[in-house]
Amino acid sequence: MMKNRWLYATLLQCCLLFVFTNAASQLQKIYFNPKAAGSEKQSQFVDSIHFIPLEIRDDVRLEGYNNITVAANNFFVIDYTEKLIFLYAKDGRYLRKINYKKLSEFYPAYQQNTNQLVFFGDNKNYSLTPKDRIKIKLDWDNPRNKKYFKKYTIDLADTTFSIKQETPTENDINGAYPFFDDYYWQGNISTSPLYKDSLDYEIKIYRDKKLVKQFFPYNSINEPRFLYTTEYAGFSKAHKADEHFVTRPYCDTIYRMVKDSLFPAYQLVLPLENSLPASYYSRPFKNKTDRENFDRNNGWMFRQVYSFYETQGFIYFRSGFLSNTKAYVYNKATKVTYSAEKIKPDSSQYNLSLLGNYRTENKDNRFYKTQKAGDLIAFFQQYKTVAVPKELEAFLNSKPHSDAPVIVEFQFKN
Amino acid sequence: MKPIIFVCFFLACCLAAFAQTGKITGLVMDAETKIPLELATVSVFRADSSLITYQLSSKEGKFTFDKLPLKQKLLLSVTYSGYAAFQTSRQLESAKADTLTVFLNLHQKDTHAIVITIKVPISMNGDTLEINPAAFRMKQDAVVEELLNQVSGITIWSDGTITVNGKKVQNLLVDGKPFMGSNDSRVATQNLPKTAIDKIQLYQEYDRSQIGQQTQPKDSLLTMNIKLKEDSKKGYFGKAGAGYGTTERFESDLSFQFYNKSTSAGIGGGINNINKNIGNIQEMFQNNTYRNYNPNLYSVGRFGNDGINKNYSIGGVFSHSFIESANSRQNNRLAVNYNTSGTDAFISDLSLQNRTTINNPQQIREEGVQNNRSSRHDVGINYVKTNSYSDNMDINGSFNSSSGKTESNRFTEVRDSAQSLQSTNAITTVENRWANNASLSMQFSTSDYEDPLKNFSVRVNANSGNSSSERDMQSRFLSYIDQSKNTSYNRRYNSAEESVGLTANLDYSGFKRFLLGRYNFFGINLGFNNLVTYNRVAARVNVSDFDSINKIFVANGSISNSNRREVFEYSPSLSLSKNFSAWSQRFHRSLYVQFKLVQDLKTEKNQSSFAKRNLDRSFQFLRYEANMGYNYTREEKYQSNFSVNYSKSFDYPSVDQLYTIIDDINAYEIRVGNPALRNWVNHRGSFNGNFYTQNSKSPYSINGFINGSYTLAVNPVTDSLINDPSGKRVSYFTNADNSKQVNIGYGLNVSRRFNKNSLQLMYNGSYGTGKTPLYVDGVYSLSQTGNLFNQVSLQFSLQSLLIVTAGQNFQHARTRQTAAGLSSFKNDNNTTKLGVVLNYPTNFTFSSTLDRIKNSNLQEQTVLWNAFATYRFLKQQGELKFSAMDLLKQYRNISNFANAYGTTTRISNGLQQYFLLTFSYYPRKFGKTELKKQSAK
Repeated sequence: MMKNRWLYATLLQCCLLFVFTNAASQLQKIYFNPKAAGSEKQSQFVDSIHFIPLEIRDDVRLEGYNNITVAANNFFVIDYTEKLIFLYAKDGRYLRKINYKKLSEFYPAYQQNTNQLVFFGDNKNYSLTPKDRIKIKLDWDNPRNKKYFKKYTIDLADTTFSIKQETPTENDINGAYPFFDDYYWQGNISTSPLYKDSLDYEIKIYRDKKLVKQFFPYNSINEPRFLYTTEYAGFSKAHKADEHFVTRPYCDTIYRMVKDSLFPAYQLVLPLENSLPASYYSRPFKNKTDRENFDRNNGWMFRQVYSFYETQGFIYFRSGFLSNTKAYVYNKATKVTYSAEKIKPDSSQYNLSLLGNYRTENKDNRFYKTQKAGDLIAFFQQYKTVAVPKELEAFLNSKPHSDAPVIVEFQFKN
Repeated sequence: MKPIIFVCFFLACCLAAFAQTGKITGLVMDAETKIPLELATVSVFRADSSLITYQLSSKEGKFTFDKLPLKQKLLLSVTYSGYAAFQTSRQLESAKADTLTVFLNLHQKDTHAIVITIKVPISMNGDTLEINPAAFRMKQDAVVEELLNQVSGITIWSDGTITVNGKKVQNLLVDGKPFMGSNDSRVATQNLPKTAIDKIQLYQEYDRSQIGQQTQPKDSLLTMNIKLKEDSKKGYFGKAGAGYGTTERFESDLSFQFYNKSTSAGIGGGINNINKNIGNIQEMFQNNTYRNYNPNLYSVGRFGNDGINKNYSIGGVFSHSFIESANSRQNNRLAVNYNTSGTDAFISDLSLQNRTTINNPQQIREEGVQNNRSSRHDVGINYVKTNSYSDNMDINGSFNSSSGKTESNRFTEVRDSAQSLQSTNAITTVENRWANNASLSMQFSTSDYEDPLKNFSVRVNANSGNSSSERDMQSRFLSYIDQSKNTSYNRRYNSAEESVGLTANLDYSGFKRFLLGRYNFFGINLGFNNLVTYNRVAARVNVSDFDSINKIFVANGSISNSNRREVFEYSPSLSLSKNFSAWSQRFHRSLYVQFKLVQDLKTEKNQSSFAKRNLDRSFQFLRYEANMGYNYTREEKYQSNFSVNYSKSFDYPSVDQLYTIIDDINAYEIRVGNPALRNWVNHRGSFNGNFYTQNSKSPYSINGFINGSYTLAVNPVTDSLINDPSGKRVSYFTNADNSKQVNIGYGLNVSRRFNKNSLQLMYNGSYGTGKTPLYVDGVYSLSQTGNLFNQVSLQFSLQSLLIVTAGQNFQHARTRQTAAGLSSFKNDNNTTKLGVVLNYPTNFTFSSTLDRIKNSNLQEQTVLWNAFATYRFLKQQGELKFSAMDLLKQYRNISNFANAYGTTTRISNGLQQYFLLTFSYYPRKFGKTELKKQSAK
């Protein structure tokens, strides 16, 4: 039985290889040297800056680590430090402050298909080890496993915005996320002797809790590159409907997935010093410590592209290395890669640093970022000749406190 | 106090002089867009390119430099990632601020452009702060410690402690390993030259002693790792010195250390007759470092030591790492050391004691002369293996062999309050002794997040020893009140003892998983600990008295005995603990609570040649303790920790307290046992608090601590002392109601930087008081003792040129009795300390220390004044030092202490004035000379 499965897998690989070989002619190479990633003025990349001032409230302050999420009809600013969610309408009207301190161990995530804010995580009455999680994953549709997790939701269509407890679903437990229509994708990758079947796949597509497609087979018991670690395939929404960019751990190819069909799209070409040695894929680490020490001592070797956004002229991506993560912008025309943190703003863009390593949300080819009102006030006081954008006039005239949030919407240049 | 006032005045003058400085303020902007640039590195150099100061521009692009030298050409450099560097020069003529606006241009690709290599002094690499020595221009022979003194945020305290933004550096590593196998940072920081260093890294490291335990924020260790340049990973350094002086004083020191990537070795030795301590090899390495800008003024002849001591010591250490690792995650290293040392001491002392008795306090004068000769051999071995921060194996072995001979004569006079002689006692002792001890300890800890059932920590310690001695004592007690009680003995003691001990401790931190599986039990952690101890001591004492008629020694059956004691203890304990924490953008706070229940099971078997001492008994004690710790961290401001602890324990009287073998050879210390003694209970509460600032922008660095304990013993064993009318003193063991003991320790350190100058204030003190019940001549009394000690010192460093220190010690001791008819006593001892080091002119160092001691029991004060002049030559590798010790020739060793019966002032012989000329040579080489020359070019 085992032999047959490997035979099928090999045949599937051959088919995929055939498809990929044909597709390879479309594979574009991105030459990328992390050490020499360039610096440039931000105005070379970004335009169409638009402000969305948020209704001023004394109790809404951007102080701690925060992020913005763009929902179907709302913006919400999440203050992770104070465990607060500030909910706004798309026109900036304040709707509600939601305190989730009682759910402080959960990270809220927006689910577009249900228009819900979902808190899903471990039930703190239980302590799970990685081995426990694999056992649960192997038995993911067993209802008894639901007790190990908790799920809370806020329905954004319901104007009470109350936090409701729900029973975790099999998809939640299995780590499967909404994909398109009623499809779900799952990209957890791990190895363990607990797996009875050595054949597993890096990416799986489910429909109605049934596995419909899977890509990239690996040995789930002793695949060298996945031993003593848990990895995840990455899915980034492309601006076309039903299209995603897919990235894999320890793989320099970025795939385009249209519905559930997969094609290689880009390949990162890195200097030798940033490339993993061949032995990484063939020679297993002796133990977890051996792996951790290798990662620590080779911190700038490539691990995975985590997020990938493509516009007409640029690609914005976050690249993970064995012990570091940085964001970069690739100029398709000049074929030059820039380090996002070295891209400097200027007064034409209100001195706003928009392309950092974090805190940038992408939706429908537009990018969103929170900014403190104090930064804008200080700018316009210093540059009195720069006209205040119309959408900001009333906001700034109402003398907001310096930590009041403003949303900056921008686009990459075409 | 006058010298202190003088020093403060002097320091104030120095500070006033520094007020005559200039100031530069400015703004860094993008040349094209005119937007301010935040975090641009702005550095100010002297004309010779030596760094004066640096800072990062503010959010508005602004920078301000105060206290810049006037009338000197200054170079200003501004760098910013992605922009071409900007450089200009300025000369400040007055204290008025000079302003500067810097426009930086984006770095254009220009093949004709000159490439400017900028050395950034400090940078962050992930979670690691990196110091780049190349950015600091210093003299060629500067050592790491001098470099660290130039880095803002780092304070090197006058006791050698290093703090970074207020937090103490607890680990100092060189290329990820302890340097020369030493835990003392000074061996590395005071020997390694700045030119051999690639970078200095500072990061938080997991404390391996916490493996498997619930960790708290304060548990991580601040670690400093010195990364050597690739061409300096091999080298040697050391010191060989010899000196001779007046009154036949001499000293000689040797230390030589070699290292490469995986191995280091060193030898050290010394011989002197100036009471200089050279006990072990690590101490010799610490005291013979290359640093000379702030020499250790107290690693010289020790005037505070008792007697005139001739010390010698020689030894070596070898350490080898079996793996090449640049960090301390992985260790596989072995260190072996051997040392032989000895002392030949001549001590004469005089003790003046006030002692309470009913209605007639005694004044006791005791004089002694003693000659001690001892020698010992020590072998140590340490093996450490770690694969990650989740495991730790540490094996320590040691063996020592010692022998010694003591010859002493003591004569004691006891007088009453009217100065009438009550009794005298003369004791002459000659003793030869030998001892061998061996111990082996092993610790292994492992924790596995994936499999908590395998989390455990085990510590095993085994030791064995044997000792023997031959002691001849002659005593003659004369009573001037009742001559029938006069005694005279000529007694010989032959003793031999063998001991074996084994302690094993198993801490099973997987207990919760084992007991409860995946259930989290409200986040409460369960710990299960097992402590097993076995000790066996077999001793034999043959005592014989000299028969002056037959001229032979006759066995004394009332004292000669053999005894074998075996104690087995098993203490399982269960602990419950929980962490609570909260954090925001500005602060982090956590609370740790632990409750522990311990069951002590003890069995003791004592077999003796005296039937009454044959005991076979067992005990069970259920005891408990509670701990609570609180940590509050205000980001970029300060951190404070506070903990309280309570524990209850039981104890039981030993066989020697129950059935004492009575020996009356010392008529003032005759002990009698009490078979009716009961067990007693100890309640102990303690607290500990510390505080330190961690504001990298502040010129101040402040840290302080306070700790204390309160112990209440219920039914403690105490003494019932009978002062026999003849003058003899007999002590009986007895239980009393309760005793109390309170101890408090506190300290505060403040450091203020003025550019490269610093002012340090260090203050610490302690207070101890206790109420001990006792019976004196059948009268119950509470003996209240109190000891107060306060020490304050002030150090001012004018760069490396001048270091001035001033300090004051206050000591007060008292004892008070509650019973009528018993007397109270007190005494004081105050010391004023002054020190100065002047490193001028080049290659010369002049230094001096002055200690003035005032004792309430002595009419005249004592002053110890030492002075030193040092000259370095032979390319800084030769040193000639002239020491003038006790210039005023009036030093005396005086110490005070108090116990339940009174206070004592002790005056002993010691060093007297001498002058010494010492020549030392410092062999030093780091890396290949050719490579050094190339890099210099």
